[in-house]
Amino acid sequence: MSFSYFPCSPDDARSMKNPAIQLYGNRFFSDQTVSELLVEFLLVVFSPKKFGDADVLNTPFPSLEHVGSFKYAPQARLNLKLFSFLGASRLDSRHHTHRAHHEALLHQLRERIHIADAGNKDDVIRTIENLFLGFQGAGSGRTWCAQSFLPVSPAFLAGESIWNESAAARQDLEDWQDVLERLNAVFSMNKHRFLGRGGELLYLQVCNALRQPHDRIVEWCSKERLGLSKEEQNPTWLHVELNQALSCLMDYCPGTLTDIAEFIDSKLDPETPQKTDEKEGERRFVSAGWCNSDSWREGYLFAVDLLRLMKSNLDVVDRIYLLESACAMQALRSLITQSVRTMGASKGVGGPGYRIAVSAPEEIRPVIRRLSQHSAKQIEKTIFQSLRSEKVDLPDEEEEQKKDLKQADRVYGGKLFISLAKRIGFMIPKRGSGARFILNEQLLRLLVVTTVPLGGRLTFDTFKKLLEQRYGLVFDADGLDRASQWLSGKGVYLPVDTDKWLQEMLEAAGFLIPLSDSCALVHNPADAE
Amino acid sequence: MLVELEQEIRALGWRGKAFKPHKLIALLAAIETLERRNVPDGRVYFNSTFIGAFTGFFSKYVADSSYKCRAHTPFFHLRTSSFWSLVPLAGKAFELEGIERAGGPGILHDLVDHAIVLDPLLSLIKDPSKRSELVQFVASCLHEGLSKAGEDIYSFERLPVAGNSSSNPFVSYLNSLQRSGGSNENALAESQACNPQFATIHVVHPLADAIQTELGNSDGRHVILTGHAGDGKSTLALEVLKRLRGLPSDVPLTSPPKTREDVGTISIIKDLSERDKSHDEELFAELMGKDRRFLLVSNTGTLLDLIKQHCAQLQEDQDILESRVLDSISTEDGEGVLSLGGHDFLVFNLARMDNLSLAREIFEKMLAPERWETCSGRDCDQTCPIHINVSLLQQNQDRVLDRIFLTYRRMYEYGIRLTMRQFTEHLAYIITSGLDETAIHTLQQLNPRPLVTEYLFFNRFFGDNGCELDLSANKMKAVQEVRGQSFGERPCPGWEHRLWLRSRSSLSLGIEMLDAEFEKMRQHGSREARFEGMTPDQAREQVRRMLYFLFDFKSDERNYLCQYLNSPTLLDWLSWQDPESHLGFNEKSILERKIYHVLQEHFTGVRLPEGATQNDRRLYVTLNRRRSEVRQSAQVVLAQVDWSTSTVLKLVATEGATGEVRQDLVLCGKDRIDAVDLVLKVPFLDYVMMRHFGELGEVLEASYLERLDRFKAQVHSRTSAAEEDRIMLVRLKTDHTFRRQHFSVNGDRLEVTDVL
Repeated sequence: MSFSYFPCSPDDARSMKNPAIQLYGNRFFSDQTVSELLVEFLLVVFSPKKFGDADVLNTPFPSLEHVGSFKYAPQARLNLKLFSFLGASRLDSRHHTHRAHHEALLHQLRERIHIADAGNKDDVIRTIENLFLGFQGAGSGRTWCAQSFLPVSPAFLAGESIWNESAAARQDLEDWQDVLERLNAVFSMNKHRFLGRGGELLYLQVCNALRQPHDRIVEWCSKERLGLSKEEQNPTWLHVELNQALSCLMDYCPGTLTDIAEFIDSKLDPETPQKTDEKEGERRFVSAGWCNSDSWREGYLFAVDLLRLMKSNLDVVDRIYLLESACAMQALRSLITQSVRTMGASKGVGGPGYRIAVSAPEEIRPVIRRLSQHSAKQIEKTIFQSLRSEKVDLPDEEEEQKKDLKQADRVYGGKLFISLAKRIGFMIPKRGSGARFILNEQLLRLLVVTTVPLGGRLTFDTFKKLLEQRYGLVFDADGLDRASQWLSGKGVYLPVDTDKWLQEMLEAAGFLIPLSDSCALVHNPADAE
Repeated sequence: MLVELEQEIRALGWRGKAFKPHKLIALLAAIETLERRNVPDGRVYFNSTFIGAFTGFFSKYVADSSYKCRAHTPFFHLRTSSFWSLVPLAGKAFELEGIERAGGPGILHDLVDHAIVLDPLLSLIKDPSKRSELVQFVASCLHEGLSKAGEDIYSFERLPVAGNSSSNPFVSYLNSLQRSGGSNENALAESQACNPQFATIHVVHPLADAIQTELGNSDGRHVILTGHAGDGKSTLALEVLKRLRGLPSDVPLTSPPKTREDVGTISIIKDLSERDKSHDEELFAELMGKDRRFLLVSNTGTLLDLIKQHCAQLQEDQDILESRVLDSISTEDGEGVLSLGGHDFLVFNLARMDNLSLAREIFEKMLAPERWETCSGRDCDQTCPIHINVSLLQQNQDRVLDRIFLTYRRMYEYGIRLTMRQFTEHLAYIITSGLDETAIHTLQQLNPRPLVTEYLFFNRFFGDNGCELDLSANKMKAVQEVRGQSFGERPCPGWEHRLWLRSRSSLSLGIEMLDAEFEKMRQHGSREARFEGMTPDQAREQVRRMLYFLFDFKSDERNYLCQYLNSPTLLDWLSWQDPESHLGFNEKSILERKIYHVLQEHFTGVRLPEGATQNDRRLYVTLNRRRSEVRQSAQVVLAQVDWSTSTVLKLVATEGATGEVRQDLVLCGKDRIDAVDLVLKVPFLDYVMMRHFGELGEVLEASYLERLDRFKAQVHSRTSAAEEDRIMLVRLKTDHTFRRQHFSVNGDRLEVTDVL
């Protein structure tokens, strides 16, 4: 094995057959939605966890003295999902046992509602149903249990549960009690189809980054000119601050909302959570994946991004959406950076070793459109080649090798990069040929909040420089020239106003103040609290 | 043929002196349709046969493109004649009766089954010989009408032929300030320094005193002057230099200023980017020393480079230095202090300062009678387009300047700031249209000669002659920005009615020089009469421009100005600039209600009908997703404030670095949200008003949304209910009021209380 992994060397031979998992860790997966990347990340952050045989830890990022296989204990929250989503799920997916249990939950709730004045209990139930349905997250087309909530409260974080319809049909299920007795047969909670371990991988990248020595981080930051403050370059400081900031993340949400969610999930029917979340009277822990040890650089940048997002004065829900985009951008950055590192392709390119030529959403100049399309193709190609590099162990048998690589390309590699980029609006068009990189308002906001240091200001030029160093994004004539050099070895001469669209976009969003001759300031209006 | 019928047919299409051929063509089409069917029962259907025949005749007889080929209009309106009756579809008679005009063919399809041609015309059509006679008669009426209508084409006033012409050197100077003429050498301060004409338009910058005092003070600081190219940095430095040398400001220098000018212990570096970089170390040492005071004129990039390259001496990180420099030059009022190595620099950023009053003073100087004395009494003063324009401007100076600068103000408040150079070139162009003596002479040789209005300021302000864009003027930033605003595109219904309704008595502009042209354009625009030289659309646009710039509106008519500028609150803002002004009780409560409504919508992500929130005066910050695809009929209240007691609308005055005071409406927080203030700038107030008028399509610009989000986050953090052991849920009821309930979990019970 050519790579080393964090938190331990994987013993899962089946997973390690997958070249993408060898390369990036276990795992980024194309079926995982952007929203579920964050849900899974926060699920790990807010669940009890342990490394190896060490004690159970409850802080977001535990002390990293111990390493070993990483496990965490997610809750299934079947009652809460049933209560919230059954009414909005497909009619044909509603099993009679689900309907009966839903009725039972409503009955229990009706019994326990106490209205101070003369009021209608059904009306109260409707209000609560509407309230929770309003936080419906990913998977609105799926069965109620496979859907997720928008993670605004810790009580909304739930592990993956998939109803096995065929298996259930084979069982003679009369009521919910039967379901609970045959829980493992009718529900799958370890398939990782929707919560596909991408969030786990992001979490482990941060843990891996935070355990790096201070000197190493300082040296790397000064070499790459990443614009991190002295404090941010200290992993110990960052660790403490991140723990504090993440602990407060859910504090913006009223505690009583969490109480009501917990009340519905565990007070109306305590048996279901007991069966789903406990094993022999103890919390049920599940094994998480692993990440490539080399990913500490991108992991560290992600940790700083998270902290800056957390410390900005943002609306609760806006912050969640920005965190979603941050997770997706980190997944993209991880894929390309690790591929470039594996291929050794960064020589002479500088910065992250690749360039993403970003064009204006309405770009009409063919040169820039082509450059952007070309950089998308080149990134896909680099990922493709890295999966076939000599550092990756592939099966000896040719057919098997072909099959593994094809699968890796389709759902774990280049296609994943493209589809994820399209999902967050980083690439257009969504269908058809000629996909190129653009920025939308949400991504622009993310880049400003995570790039402009807390309480600081940057010139427009410095802002662009930092985006190039951190994400490989280029916008102006010089940057696009460097992108062209990376792509074809030839430079390209473009007009000086090539990046005017970015300046206008920033100005329209209130992030840019034109100061004086050819100098503008980029600031974060949602500066530190 | 019957005499009455002949007369009636001959009169078809005539309205006063105006002629429209459509009814006669429709009659020809009807005759052909009936003839083709060979069953002359008199029924004419509005179908493809009729439309095809109509189109055929239209292209045969009508060459003038100002007539539109629309068959449905005459088919409908022929009903006013004695021989044409519309038969409604079953059950549509009443509806058809109520219709006065056919806006489109759909109305005919929806309401009319067919038209019927009545006797005696039908009898004529049935008889083949009389039918051809009838067709010939209708065609002759058509020819007659079209030729007579062609005869009645009038002309707008054209430039008179010149007598002996002579030039005014001030015109050449004004042209040299513009880029449109190709000789824009005086656009740079360096050449202005030695130009005697410069004093004629020069206005003393209010910062000159402050800079001179600072430099002359023994404890004073160095001064850094920055801003956009053309903001007047060099001119201001020149003013300071003259003062230090004891020269009057209206006396030109004998030679352009050098890159560095030393006067006593004061040094002026007129452009840091022109310095000799090999002397940087000495310069930096001088800046850090105490012997000299410097006035550094620089753009930000050069300043940053100079400072960052000395980060080691300053013992500071480059990024921190950059951030500090940016802090000092990005202050709201344009004045900041930068501390470097224990030395304070006073920083003025002209790009952050309101320069409209300076620009107005310059324009007033351009129009001063002594500049135009040379032209008075000359043979050419009645024929020169520039002099005609200047006379119009001078005669109505106060009003015109108010309106021109109201337009600039609208742009400024919406974030479009022009530099002094952009102002002066635009204003100079408004006066001269880029014309000089030779160009005027050439124009007067043209046949036909240009219209007088082509060179008047109300057209040139937009960089066109009322009909066509002046391509050289379109290179000016000011013209590009003005054109980008779409001024006058939002119709003002009351005024449109007044201007274009033919039955109304005519409206006078009240400007003697222009009244006749105004009336001609009004008639042309309303198609009451035809004039050559422009299309009716262009005439209408010019009428609106004249009205905006020149009409003396009564106080209750000023909504035209707001509508023209697409800004319902700009005039209110202007009235608030009077230091004595204050918000009246009614004005305040109306504004408060409307602002509350918009904020509540933004904070809950729910569209609330107007008037829905009248009784409940609490402002809720809820946990909402603000995404239309997710319905959140019940929401958790994160924070709430009593709008009536926790906020107050105030006019707050702020003083800029130049001493200019502006008053803005501010929503000031009280009690729990004390000092959480939201400055309500014109774009936001406009949005509030437009929402109130039901313009749901209006979108608040992203930068303002960002500001509202910040305000929301501040209100939330101050009034958060997160610590409470209960939450309030609000649910929008069908009567558009919120139902509010408290929820709390108490052991095994969920307790719910209605909040009254």
